[in-house]
Amino acid sequence: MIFRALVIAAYGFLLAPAIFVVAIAFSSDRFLTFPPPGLSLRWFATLFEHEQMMAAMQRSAILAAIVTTLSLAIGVPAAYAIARLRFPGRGAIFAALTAPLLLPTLVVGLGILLVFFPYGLAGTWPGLALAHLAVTLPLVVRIMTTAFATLPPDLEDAAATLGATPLKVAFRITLPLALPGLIAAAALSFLISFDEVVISLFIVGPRLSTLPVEMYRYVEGHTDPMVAALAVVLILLSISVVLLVERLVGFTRTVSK
Amino acid sequence: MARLALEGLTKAYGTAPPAVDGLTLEAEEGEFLALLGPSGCGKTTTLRMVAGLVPADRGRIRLGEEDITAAPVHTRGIGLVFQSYALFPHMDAVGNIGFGLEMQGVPKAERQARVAEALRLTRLEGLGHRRPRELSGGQQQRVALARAIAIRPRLLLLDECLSNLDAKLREEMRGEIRDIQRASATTALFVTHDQTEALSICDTVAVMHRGRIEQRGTPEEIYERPATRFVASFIGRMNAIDGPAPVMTREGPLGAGETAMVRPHRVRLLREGAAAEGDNAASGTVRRITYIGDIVQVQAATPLGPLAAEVSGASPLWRGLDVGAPVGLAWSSSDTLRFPA
Ligand SMILES: Nc1ncnc2c1ncn2[C@@H]1O[C@H](COP(=O)(O)OP(=O)(O)O)[C@@H](O)[C@H]1O
Ligand SMILES: [Mg+2]
Repeated sequence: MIFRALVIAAYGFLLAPAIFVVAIAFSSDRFLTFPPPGLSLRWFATLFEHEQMMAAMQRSAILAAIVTTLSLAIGVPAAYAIARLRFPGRGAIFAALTAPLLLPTLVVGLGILLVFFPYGLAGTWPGLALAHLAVTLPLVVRIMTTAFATLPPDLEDAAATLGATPLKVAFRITLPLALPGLIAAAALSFLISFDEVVISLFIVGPRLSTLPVEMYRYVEGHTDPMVAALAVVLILLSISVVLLVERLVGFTRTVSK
Repeated sequence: MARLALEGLTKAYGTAPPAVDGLTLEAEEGEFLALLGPSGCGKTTTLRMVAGLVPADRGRIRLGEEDITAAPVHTRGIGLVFQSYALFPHMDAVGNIGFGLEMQGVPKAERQARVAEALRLTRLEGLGHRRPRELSGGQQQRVALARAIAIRPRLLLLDECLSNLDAKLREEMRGEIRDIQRASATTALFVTHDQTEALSICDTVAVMHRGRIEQRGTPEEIYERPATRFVASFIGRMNAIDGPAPVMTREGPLGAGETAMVRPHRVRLLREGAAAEGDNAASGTVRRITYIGDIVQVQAATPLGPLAAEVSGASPLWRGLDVGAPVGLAWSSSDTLRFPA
């Protein structure tokens, strides 16, 4: 009972800010007052007419899609090699690929800025994509290494004895069975890139900026509830991605067991 | 459908003593050869080398006229039935069985016909659209077998594929595997640690110990004329008497540093006072009486060490015999083998 009460209290503490934000997003007031004096959708309307914010949202979505594609394209084969092949330096490569997970993002961001600036990468698409990859790639490698390592190795061997070339084994056996991990890795990459603010702050330029950075800048200069409305949109987006993944992963689980 | 020859096959994992150590073995075309040995003696490693899943450190593998030692797995055309079955969980039985044919590029119509044929042979008709998790252990085993034979392999390898089944099903499957193998005349290597299984279904048995073949022969040869002490004690039950001792063997009297061996069912049980027959005898006291199926084993403590005799359960000889009772044991020198200890 006490444990239960504690859990409820912990959730309450974690969710309280979200509840405030949602309430304020529907406020009819011009300021961030709580409780809101009246309810309205006016701040959503303001948001969708705010060209700069909408453009940033589109940029962030494109960036997240590129980052996700790249991290899967690099991370999945790397994870497969680490999980399945025996080669010298395997442990070192795994450590190097996943180490950024352990560093504070501030340190990663500063490091990236120091390296990128001389090459003129700061404030460019490739620069932003590479910076986000520093966060998403380690995650994809970590998730997919586990996904591959937990597949029964006999299945791939069986396919090979039946005449499947290594490429056929990968596409007909390994990847379909690792699909739940693949979906989870893709969704996480997308959400992280879309939400990433700390590293992006170091890299964005005056002409190229992402949605979270725009939000951050907006709050510095304005005190109206439009950012709260934007926060609600982002929360809905995250929830729908998570639900979609849940559906897909739950689905593939039942298909492949 | 080809002759298999393994020559000096060797594989060591890391620094441990080699799992397979200079193994030489041949299976004739169409032969059903059992590879029999205790767990850990290197049977699976041998099969995996033949299939191409583990590279050999040394030695050659020949299949038919071809040297396949370095051939990639997917080009070998060898069917392997895994101990774990290794069925693809995301495909139904038809998908599993047809996978190899699809990889070989067999056209769809022919593929369907051959899958249906494999389903029929393994008595899986009507279960083709079930996924592995919807099948019982015995049915999964059949799918694994059907999948391996559907590709019409040049060689069929079976790795302890019956050991996860219950006793009755296991016996049934033995016969079916034998029939399927005979009908297709496929050379087959059947790996098992179960001597009854090996002796009952195979043409030839190769007994493996510590990565090598100790003896290769028909079940009768292996049982009646074991070539080494290991084969003698691994196959069937055996009494062992360490020399020197007053025991005559086939090869002469038992000396120091030698061991005499005689099967319990060759040892006669004598009631007290009966005259000893045969050229070896010992007297002792009963230690234990055990039923083994329809025979009864009487273990006795004798000056030569513990000795066991087996008699039919119907025999009057053991009736009324109690632990602690005095008994005589007698056996012939022609049934007594001698090995260096
Ligand atoms: N992948 C492996 N890595 C290291 N040692 C192994 C590996 N596979 C088998 N071994 C060792 O090799 C020996 C033979 O194993 P195995 O061929 O599986 O024997 P069996 O099939 O007769 O039980 C055992 O001592 C086992 O521990
Ligand atoms: Mg084994």
